Amino acid sequence: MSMSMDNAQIVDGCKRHNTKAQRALYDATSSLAMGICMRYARNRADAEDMLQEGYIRVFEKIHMLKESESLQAWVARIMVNNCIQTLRNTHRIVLTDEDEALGVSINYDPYALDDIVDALQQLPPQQRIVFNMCEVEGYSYEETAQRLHCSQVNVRSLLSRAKQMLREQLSKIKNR
Amino acid sequence: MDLRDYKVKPDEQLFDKIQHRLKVRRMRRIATASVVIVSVVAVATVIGVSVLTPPEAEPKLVAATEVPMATAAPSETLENTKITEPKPVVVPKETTTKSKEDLEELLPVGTAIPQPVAEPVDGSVPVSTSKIATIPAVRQHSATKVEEQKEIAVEPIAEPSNENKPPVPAQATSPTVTPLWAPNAIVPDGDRDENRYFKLVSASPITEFTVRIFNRRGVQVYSSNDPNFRWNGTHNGARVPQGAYVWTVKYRDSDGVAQQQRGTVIVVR
Repeated sequence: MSMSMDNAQIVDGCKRHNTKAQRALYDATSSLAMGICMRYARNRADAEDMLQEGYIRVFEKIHMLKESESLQAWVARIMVNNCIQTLRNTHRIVLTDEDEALGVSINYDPYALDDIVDALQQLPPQQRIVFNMCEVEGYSYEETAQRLHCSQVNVRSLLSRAKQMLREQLSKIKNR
Repeated sequence: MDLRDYKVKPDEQLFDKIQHRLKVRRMRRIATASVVIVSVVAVATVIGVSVLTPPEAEPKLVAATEVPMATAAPSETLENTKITEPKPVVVPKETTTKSKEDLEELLPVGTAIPQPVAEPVDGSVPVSTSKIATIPAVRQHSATKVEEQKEIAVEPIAEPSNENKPPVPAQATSPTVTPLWAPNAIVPDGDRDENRYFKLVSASPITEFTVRIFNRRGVQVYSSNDPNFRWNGTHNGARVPQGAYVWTVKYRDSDGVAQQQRGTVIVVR
């Protein structure tokens, strides 16, 4: 029956704590949400914890969803914010003032997304979060620095190191 | 290809976990608003339990000196004097908020006011003191020679008291019995081992030990005769839901005197 519910009905049901509606929302968004958590987390178990936290926020804040917003995009944003907050609380971003050139670019195309996420999970948490925010979510350096309470210089250097490490990891996978 | 579209199907049981946690959070929000109601329910359950206990296990009431309690007793108590069996009476709610000073007035001279007991001996983390302690007060024999037991629920008082302890003069020759120490909350799924189990800690060796734990509906969820028991928050192998649980324990202390003690333990999930 979840198929027959449209987004408005789902949101309406969730506001009334309707289990079926919550299930429908979860079914429609959980794969994407889990993908986001996998990118930010170190492993699957951590990702599942983040997913749980994220959905608790989704269901408790569903009344804040504006009608004009896309449900999927809203859930994704909450997931990203939750991942960032969780990581920020568990690993404090360490300020370093090393500035490195950002001339590292990666050609992802030969790799499967799973491999990239695998490599991403190997990164130190600071690098992983910065890479996700700048490269994937498309935050500016300024915004990333604000959200992580660190300097832009630090964001750039972390991103550069993240890319370098990712490239090394991916080339290992390729050579295997 | 775009990492933003990366999708992974989460495990099937995750949704149930989320649902459960949402429910717990909603209930906790409601519960914090009604802590008083919960404690009253817990006291009612304790009294319900005491009705079930065999008469010979009732505290020895005769030993107590005459108490000026009769005047303070509510009128409904007097209606019960015709009943031939000892019957605990729920004190109206106002009584539960009586301060310690009021309590001292109500108790006979020389009655030991329950004091916080010693630190746990096994090095476990001392949990804050129990919210509910029940103290039996004794009415003098009425004209119909009927004994009545009355329980006053005292909220702000410290540790579980030693239930049926007769009034001991301040300079007592016999050593005062230290009640068992019990945690008032356990976290069965927590990461601290010392908080995962419910157990009782005794300062001196005890015998003929029986402990029983009840849920809020009065269903017995655990019992043991082992003084070193550890309850991990399960009933028939299933994890019990979060909430308040009532425990009662009977034992003989190191002097061979029968003792009884009750309290509540909160299971936190």
